[in-house]
Amino acid sequence: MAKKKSELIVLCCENSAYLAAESLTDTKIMQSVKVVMLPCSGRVEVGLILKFLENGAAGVLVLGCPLDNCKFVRGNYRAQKRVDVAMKALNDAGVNKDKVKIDFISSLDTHKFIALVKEMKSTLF
Amino acid sequence: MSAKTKFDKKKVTLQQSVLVIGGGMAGIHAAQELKGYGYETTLVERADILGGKGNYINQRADYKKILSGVTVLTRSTLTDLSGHVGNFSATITTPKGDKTVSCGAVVLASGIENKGGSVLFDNENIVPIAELKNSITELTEAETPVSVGLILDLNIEETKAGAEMVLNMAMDLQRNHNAEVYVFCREIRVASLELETLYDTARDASVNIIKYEGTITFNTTGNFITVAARDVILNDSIAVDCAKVGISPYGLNVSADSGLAEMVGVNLDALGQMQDNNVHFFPGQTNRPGIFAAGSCRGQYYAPQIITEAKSTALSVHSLLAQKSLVVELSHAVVDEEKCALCLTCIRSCPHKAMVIDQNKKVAMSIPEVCRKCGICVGECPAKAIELPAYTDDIVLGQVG
Repeated sequence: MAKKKSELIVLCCENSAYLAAESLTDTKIMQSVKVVMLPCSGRVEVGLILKFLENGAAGVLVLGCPLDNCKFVRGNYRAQKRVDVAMKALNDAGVNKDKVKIDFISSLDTHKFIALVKEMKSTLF
Repeated sequence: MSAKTKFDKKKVTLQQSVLVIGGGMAGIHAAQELKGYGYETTLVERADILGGKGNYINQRADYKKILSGVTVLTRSTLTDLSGHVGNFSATITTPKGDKTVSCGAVVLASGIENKGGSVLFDNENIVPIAELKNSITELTEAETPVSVGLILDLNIEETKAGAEMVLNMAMDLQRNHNAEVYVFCREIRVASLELETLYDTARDASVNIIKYEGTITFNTTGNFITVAARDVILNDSIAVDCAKVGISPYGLNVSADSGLAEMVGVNLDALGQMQDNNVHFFPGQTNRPGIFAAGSCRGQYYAPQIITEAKSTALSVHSLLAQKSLVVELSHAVVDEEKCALCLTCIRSCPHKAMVIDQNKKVAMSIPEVCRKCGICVGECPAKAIELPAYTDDIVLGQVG
């Protein structure tokens, strides 16, 4: 099987970042970027991030709601902890830990979404 | 692309009755409003009279008239609460024995815990303002005016609630009792018409208001307590000998009734108040669906605000119960019985207390009508025993083409 072109996976909370991504009109920025919807950034697991990387993703960007503004109270704090663990695991395995990143944006922050994706792409590709 | 698939639905009937805990200003107005919406309302009060903090800021109203039609249980406490949104069962200890009340929603208006000021300062003359009322008789009997210090903003910055209470208390002491009152505050917060007027009347009643900065110290000298601080206006240090010192309850870092919060499974925030759920999505709600909070257990509010807040909380309850029944999509978290070791991680981490122990199978299980399908338990479970049917790992990984 031919290896797929590597992509940047953006794990988005459906209450904020996914809405920001939906209102994006510029399709050029979304080349080799895949948006994945999650019910809350707290759904993110270390295993899930590593699985995406194992499946050939170039990097994983987790986007949750702004801190202290999670619909489920503290889901984004939990996500941050798990991303930190994933980064440490990658670092220990000798893989560039910058392949994983977490940030917090609101549903109106489409410009931030673009900036974050651009920045992540420039470090990865 | 949507990750959602179709699920079975379940109907949960919502009982058309509400239990209100706390007969203070918030509880009374919430109960009145709920009665007006047509719900069978029960009000539980710990003390033998209604009114709560309103009693010592002289804001008593004719509660019997307001609460006509509401079952009022005084000298009673909530001792157990079981069940979930729409179908709670509460055990209330009354002087006549235990009583079980079933209700569709619970409103917590239990106010704040009264921490003893004397315990804090090891001096029986330094008390929370609520207890100052008890020593008023000795103030009245004194021949010469007795100086009383009222302290605001002791540990935390206070809001209009503290200012209102202290100014009301100061005026009462100055006018009706033989007292000379000194109010110590960092900022007096009077940003509303009623409070502005109250401040003016207090000044006219010759209440001394001292604006201080830095720390405030209390030293005992003979029968007096010397309250010393740095006065911002005089730009000098100031010391006042007071026979009694009353401290605003908010300044004592008070929290909501933590015992009650623990019993009903409601989280407290950093300030110890029951305002934990996301205010944009669930106004007036605690982290447990079907349990609401109103009044000073939820935040520092002054009287008109408390009444408005209590009514808006009642409206939140109405918008839940007026549906008569909830149609719940059965896409709640599912626990794999083989993998679950009952480590209680999910029960601790669930923000809405939707995870409970299945006593028959000895595994964790989620309650469909409570679960908000956030997937936090899925992420936390160390054994990967929990799955969210709408967002299984396969579905999440499958979103990448």
